[in-house]
Amino acid sequence: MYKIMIVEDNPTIRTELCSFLNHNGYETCTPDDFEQVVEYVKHCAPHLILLDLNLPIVDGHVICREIRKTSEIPIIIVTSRDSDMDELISLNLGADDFITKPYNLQVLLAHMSRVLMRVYESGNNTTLHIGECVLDISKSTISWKNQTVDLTKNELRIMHCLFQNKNKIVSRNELMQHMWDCDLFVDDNTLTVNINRLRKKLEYLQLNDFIVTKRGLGYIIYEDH
Amino acid sequence: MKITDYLKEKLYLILAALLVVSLTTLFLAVSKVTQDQIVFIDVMFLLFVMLILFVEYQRRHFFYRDLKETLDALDKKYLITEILEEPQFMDGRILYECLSEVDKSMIDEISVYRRAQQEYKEYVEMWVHEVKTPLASANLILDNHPSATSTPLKEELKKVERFVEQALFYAKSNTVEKDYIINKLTLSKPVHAVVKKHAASFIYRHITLTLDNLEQTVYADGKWLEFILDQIIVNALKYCDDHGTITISANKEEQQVCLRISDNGCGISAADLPSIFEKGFTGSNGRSHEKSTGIGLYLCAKLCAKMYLGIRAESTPQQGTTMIITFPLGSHYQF
Repeated sequence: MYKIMIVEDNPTIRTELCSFLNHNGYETCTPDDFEQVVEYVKHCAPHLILLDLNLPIVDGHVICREIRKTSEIPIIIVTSRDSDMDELISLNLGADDFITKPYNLQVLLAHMSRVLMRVYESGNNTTLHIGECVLDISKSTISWKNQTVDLTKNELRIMHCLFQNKNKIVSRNELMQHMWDCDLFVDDNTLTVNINRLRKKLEYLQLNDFIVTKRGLGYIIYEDH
Repeated sequence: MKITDYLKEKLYLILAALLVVSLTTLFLAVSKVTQDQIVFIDVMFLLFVMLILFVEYQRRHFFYRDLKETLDALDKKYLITEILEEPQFMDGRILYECLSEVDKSMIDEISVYRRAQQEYKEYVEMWVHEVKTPLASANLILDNHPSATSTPLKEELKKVERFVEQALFYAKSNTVEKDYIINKLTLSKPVHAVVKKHAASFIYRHITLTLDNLEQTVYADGKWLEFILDQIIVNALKYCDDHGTITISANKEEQQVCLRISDNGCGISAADLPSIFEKGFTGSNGRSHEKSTGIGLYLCAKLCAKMYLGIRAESTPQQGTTMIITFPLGSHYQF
């Protein structure tokens, strides 16, 4: 489990962010003495630091520079200061990423997992599994029992969303929201067409009824198919 | 200053000189001075008067001509004394001193207001950053404690965020100095960012979005352009019916790139169309639909003008509206 250190002076955001990250499978630690942040980093040894820029006593940029003197822990700057200059200074001081408030939590999670994966998993984990069925995101293919078919961009995103939410119903709206987040601006009809094509491809793999329709609710993939 | 006007003003001097000449002539004639001598004295006297008139005219003529020409050429007319040479005659000097005094007080006054405006802008910017923190925590709380009310509440928070953003740009649009950077960018980037922000509205209201040919390079400030597009797309969404269509397309013309944002909503009546970019204008749509502020499009037009972009609207009532932003491409706009 990854340990995330949250450097944030607003207590509400701090506790809420902690509980949100805990729910999403991260361990958290938060310093409340902003003069000793660098010592706290050594003591707590997190995998990733979420750093606010507007802090009492010491500016976030200073902390970022101090941490970089001794360690290469990934740092994501999370701040309401959204000027280009702040972003530039942050990245030049060695921050790995820059997100402005108010942010979408899913976007924050995506940035975090991206940075964590790059630093700690050397980035070759791009396949998702349900039973014997394998979705390869980097190749945009799906395979079952030694047979493989190519997926289009839209189909890959649909499968990705369903795979991530296996055993859970995904509504059509959630599915569309997921695709919009990936710059695929589909409407109802397109989604229907894509799902039908996807089902044909799955039938070709002998995976009949892999995607189950829950009338009026959405779609679901069961793990024990 | 015309010579005739000058002579008209100095008529009393000429008349006085003529009177003196005639009286002198009369007196000399009575004193039995020869005719040649009388003519000589008269001519000398008249020459003397004319010389004075001529020199005085020359001085004034050059000074006032300079003054008028510089004034016409000046962009900020109140700075005239910074450029003007001090005149050599007395009434000119008095004028010059008065002007300098007036200018100085004007410049002081302006700098007071400029400073006040700058301070206000800085305050608004700081306030916007401050208010974003409680907004972010409110969003976090809603995400962590999902309930039936969290989705509509999040929608309302989004509206607050939009208004906060509008306040920031309003403050920025009123300052004299330039606080934007014009960069080379691809149109699809700001368009994608903005439509993604409104994904929920598109999806829940079953509005079809069509994007076409947006891989065009233009020169603009990314953040400003996103703000402008946000205002336009929110309007399009507001006046579009459920199951409607919004099309965003671009095409390259000879000297410019045109970005068109079309909806098939209720349109704008011909009477309202010329005024939609005016401050505070709400029109019949603003009254029949949700109340509008009349600030959004006004700001769009203002920010566009600052970045040298064109913006206009075309609309057919009951069929839809197209907003067109034009990005100049000419070589004289290279940054």
